[in-house]
Amino acid sequence: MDIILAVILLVLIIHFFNPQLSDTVGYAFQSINEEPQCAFFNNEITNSVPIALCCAELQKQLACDKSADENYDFKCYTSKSANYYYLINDAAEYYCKKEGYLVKTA
Amino acid sequence: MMLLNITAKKRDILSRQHKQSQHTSDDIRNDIKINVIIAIVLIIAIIIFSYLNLNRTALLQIESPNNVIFEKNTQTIFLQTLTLHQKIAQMIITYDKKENKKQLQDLLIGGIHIGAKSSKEEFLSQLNDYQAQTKIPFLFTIDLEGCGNPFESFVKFPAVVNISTNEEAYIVGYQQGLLLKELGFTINFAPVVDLNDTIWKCRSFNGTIEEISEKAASYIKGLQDTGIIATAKHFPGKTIIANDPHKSIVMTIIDKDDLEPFNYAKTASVSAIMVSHQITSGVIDSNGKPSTVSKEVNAKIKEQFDGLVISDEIGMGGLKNYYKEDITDLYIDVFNSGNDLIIYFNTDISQLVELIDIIETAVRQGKIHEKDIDHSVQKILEAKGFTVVNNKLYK
Repeated sequence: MDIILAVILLVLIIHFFNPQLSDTVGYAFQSINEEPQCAFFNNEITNSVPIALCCAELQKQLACDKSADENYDFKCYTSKSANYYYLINDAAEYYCKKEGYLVKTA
Repeated sequence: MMLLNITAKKRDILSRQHKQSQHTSDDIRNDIKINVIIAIVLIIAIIIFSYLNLNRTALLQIESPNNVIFEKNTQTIFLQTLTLHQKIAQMIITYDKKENKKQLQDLLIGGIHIGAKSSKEEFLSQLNDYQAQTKIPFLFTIDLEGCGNPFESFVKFPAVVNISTNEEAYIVGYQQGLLLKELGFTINFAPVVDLNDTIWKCRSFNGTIEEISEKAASYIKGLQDTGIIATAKHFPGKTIIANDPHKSIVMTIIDKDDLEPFNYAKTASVSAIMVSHQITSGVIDSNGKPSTVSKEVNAKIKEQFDGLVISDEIGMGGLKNYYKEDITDLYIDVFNSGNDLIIYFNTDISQLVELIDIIETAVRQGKIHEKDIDHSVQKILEAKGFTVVNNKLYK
């Protein structure tokens, strides 16, 4: 019981000091070979968007749902009926959140 | 006799056993006592750290800005009644997060950028809520560029690539301006005046350089005729040409054509210009630095232009990766290069305060001139509708 309490305390102390995980540790939870992918869908055309530009764009979207496109994990949009939207993979979601951007995935 | 001996022996054994069991009971009682004490100490420590974690931002003691003096009748504000901390905060546009409302009001943050919402009522409610009880009104900014539309849930606008005439560009600008005014916005970060959009394929006007420039100028006039500030972006151009998607630091060569839309925008009296993070050479040379932090690029913007100079969002990879992990130098250079407004999308209040603290220290150390801060803040307050009185004599 004391050990459990001590572990809980340790986690809270570490969290209080807000450690930043390195890229390597973060990517251990993703496929190591997966690069962040971001694309913009514009009326049947999908174009790659540099990740450096993508994260700020994602923050401005209304929400991100699971993508029906098998090449991507999320579809991020300003409205569900919009003809323009962003497609990202898990690695892009993780990267943007790690960089401090709000990505409104479920 | 034997019986007596046996009884005595038994008594001895029993006595020793009794003493042992007493000794064991004492040990157990002591162990329990120690464990209980340890458990109580751990529980108290957990409660304390849980409280500290939950209230981490509450540890930032932000006082209400009761020091600011302005006359309501004449909308005159006395610049030097703002502290240096508050003046620096006025230069920052952060991102919409309603949980931060009180702290943003108390910090006197200059502006809030708003993204897509699910209804018109939600926009009205959120902006009114922010603005209520704030000492100095926020600038509310948005990216209504004519491609991704943050109002898509209740109104549609044509993509700028589909706008065919100057008249249409003016009408679209005017209609967008009316909506933005109604909702309480101040600045639209549009139009994008890059000549060629190979990524989104909808953010740029189409046509020759002259046609693009004229449409952009017409759009600016339409928007600004409603009282909304237009922003020509992203100086000095070529920001939306596809590059290696894995690269963050982008280098590009600017030619005379890239600057033409910006020249037309200045002639159309555009009120704001946004600078990109690209490292440029050619007719606009950023001297190996991202344009946002280049005094040379900033000086070029200010040729025949005295409106607001706005940095692109400073958390973007194109700027951060140039500075590697040195956030302090990044912040100081962004403020020191001549930008009036700095866009910072990070919604962590403690990091926002850290940014302001770093700049305040830099000013006190003489790395940034307070006169430059005051000059920018005066422009911002005037954009908010104030008459600014500044009695300070600078050394």
